[in-house]
Amino acid sequence: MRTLRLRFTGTACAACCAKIEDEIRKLNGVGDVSISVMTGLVKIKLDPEKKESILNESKAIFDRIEPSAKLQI
Amino acid sequence: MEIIQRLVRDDRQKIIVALTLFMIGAIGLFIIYVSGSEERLAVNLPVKSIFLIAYGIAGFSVLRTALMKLKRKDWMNEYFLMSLASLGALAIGEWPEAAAIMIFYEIGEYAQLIAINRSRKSISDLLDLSVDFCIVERDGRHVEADPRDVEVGEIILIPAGSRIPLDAEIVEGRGEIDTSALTGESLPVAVDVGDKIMSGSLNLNTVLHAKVDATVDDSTLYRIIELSDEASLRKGKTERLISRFARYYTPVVVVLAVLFAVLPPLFTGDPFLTWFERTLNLLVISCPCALVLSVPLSYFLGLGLASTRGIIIKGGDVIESFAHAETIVFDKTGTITTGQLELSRIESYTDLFKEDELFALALALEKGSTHLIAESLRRSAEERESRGERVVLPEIQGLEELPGRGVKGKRGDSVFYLGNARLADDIGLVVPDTDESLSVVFIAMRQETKNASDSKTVLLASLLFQDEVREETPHILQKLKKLGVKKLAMYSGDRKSVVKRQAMALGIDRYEGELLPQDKLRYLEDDIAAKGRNASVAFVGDGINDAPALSIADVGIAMGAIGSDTAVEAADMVLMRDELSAIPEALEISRKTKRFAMQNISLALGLKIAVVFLSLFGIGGMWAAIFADVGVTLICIANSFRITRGSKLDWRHAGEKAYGVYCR
Repeated sequence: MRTLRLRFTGTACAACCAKIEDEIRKLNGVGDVSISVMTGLVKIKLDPEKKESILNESKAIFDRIEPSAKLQI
Repeated sequence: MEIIQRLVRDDRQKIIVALTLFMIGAIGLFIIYVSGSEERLAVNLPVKSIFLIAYGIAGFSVLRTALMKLKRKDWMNEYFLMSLASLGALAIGEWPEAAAIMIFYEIGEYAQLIAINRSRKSISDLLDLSVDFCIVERDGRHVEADPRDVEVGEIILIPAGSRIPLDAEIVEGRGEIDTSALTGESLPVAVDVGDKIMSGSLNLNTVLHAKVDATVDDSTLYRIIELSDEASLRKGKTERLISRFARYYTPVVVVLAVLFAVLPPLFTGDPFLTWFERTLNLLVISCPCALVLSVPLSYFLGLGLASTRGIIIKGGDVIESFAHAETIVFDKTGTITTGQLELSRIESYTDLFKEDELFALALALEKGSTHLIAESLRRSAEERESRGERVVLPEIQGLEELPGRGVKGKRGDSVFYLGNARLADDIGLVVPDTDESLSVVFIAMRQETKNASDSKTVLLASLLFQDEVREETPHILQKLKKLGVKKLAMYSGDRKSVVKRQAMALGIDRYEGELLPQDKLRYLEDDIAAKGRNASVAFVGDGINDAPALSIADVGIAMGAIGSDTAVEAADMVLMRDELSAIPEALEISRKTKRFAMQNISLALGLKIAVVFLSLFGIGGMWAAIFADVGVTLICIANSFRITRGSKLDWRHAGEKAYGVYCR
């Protein structure tokens, strides 16, 4: 497991962030994830081998739940 | 077209334009009402279409998002429900209400964005103390360089009035520095050659030359910024509970709405339209945003407030836990006491060595140690040398640390020991009584002979140290009791008589002396096992060799230990200022933050439930729902900001206080 820190912009919706957090947590290869609406930080503990797919799926989850939010990779 | 696009994208413009149109429409309606021309379509329709335009401008992006989500078969979201509520209002001819739903929803969203940005900015401004260039001495010349390119060991020059770019140790110059941005301590600190200075402090009045201790990434400032970023990601129970609640909130409101629409008309025979209207009210309050944002917002501001006071709290979970501190355990040295041991005298028991020889011997044995005794001896040596005495260190070989006991080393065929009562026990020595108010270590010597059983251990001397209780300690402990902390405990490695005397004088409930580090842990574990439900046990240490205790305590508090990686890693709270007063302050901040978060939750929930009931009885109607929804968002946000009232983060003083001091 490796810890990865990412940033996102474009939303002030705390409920959406909680939803996104839930969805990312369910992804295969994700150990834990925490998203802060206050600082715009995402911290994902993940299996390094699945990093690529997890990042892509996370991006898609952001897009789906809160289209205005952009995850920066 | 472009204008409309821009309008829809820029939240503020969108709200202003829509709200203006709404006002114009409202005035129009008023005139129609006064002139009694409600029935004349030619007047009525244009006025009403103003509301339609306002609705379109305010609601376009919500409608679009709702549609996008609907295509993916996701309809359990506030965009869809808001759209449904407003379209429903349009359908029954309530155009002003439809426009209001969208406008006030957008105002609520915008207020949240502003709240987040403002709190983020005020905190990042406080921490934005980084310096983009510094002056380095290279090849005998002073050159400007990016702090990132400066290496450990290089000498930097810090002009008067400028911020210290990197952690460093002064090699030339003396003066005063202002550490308030890091420690919350407003008095300037006097610094001299040999003192360490932290990046982010302000050099006040003289030029300082200093040797760089850490690169930018390892510097105090960078650590603090990293810690405070990280803190937002550690969530407390309340925050997790509320976001879980939010997941059920929307579906529950939807189910209620459906029941509202269908059941009452079936049973009472009321017209469907009446209940359709009441159903729309429920949809208006279907967004849980204010509720969900208010908790992290409060915690974020609480963490920020603490950091302006030199208290770095590692997360919302720590705030919650510390707010319920029932027991606070102190590792005496460096917390209750200053931790600056002072050698008061040496009691010699033989004629083998003179006083200065004993001192030099002790110093040689403690050479290379970071223990407090060693530091005290080094300070004492400096003092002696400044008085003109010469301290000549004897050559000691095979230095060996005896954990929890002391050290030993060899010189010729003599083995020397320096340590505490425990060590004396181990080597079979009886230490004579000494002044009970002073901490003691002794020196002993064993002569190695051919026949091991002949070798005799001689007690040479006792070194008596004074570990002074901080001036503020009695007052602070009293304050903690007043704040409702039930038990204060002190566990120390110092001799029992000293611990007892200090504990009695300070009114500490439980104390133990002459403990090994593992004993302290055991006692701490007992305290944790004995705590009440929902209560917590905090441990306060000086960050030296107490990482295990810091991590097993519910709240591990490291005093003045930002320099120690292990302490920072293990602790839940790091105190930047070396003052015991930071502990009651942290307790008060934690409680205040928790209290405001709870207030927000009950306020938001209460108002929403009120709307449900009022709608059930047909009181208030849609306007009440609209105002309750945006009102609660605004009130919660304003309430959260009250946490920082009167502090550096207070936005009302932002101009003078938070920013003024830090301009470069």
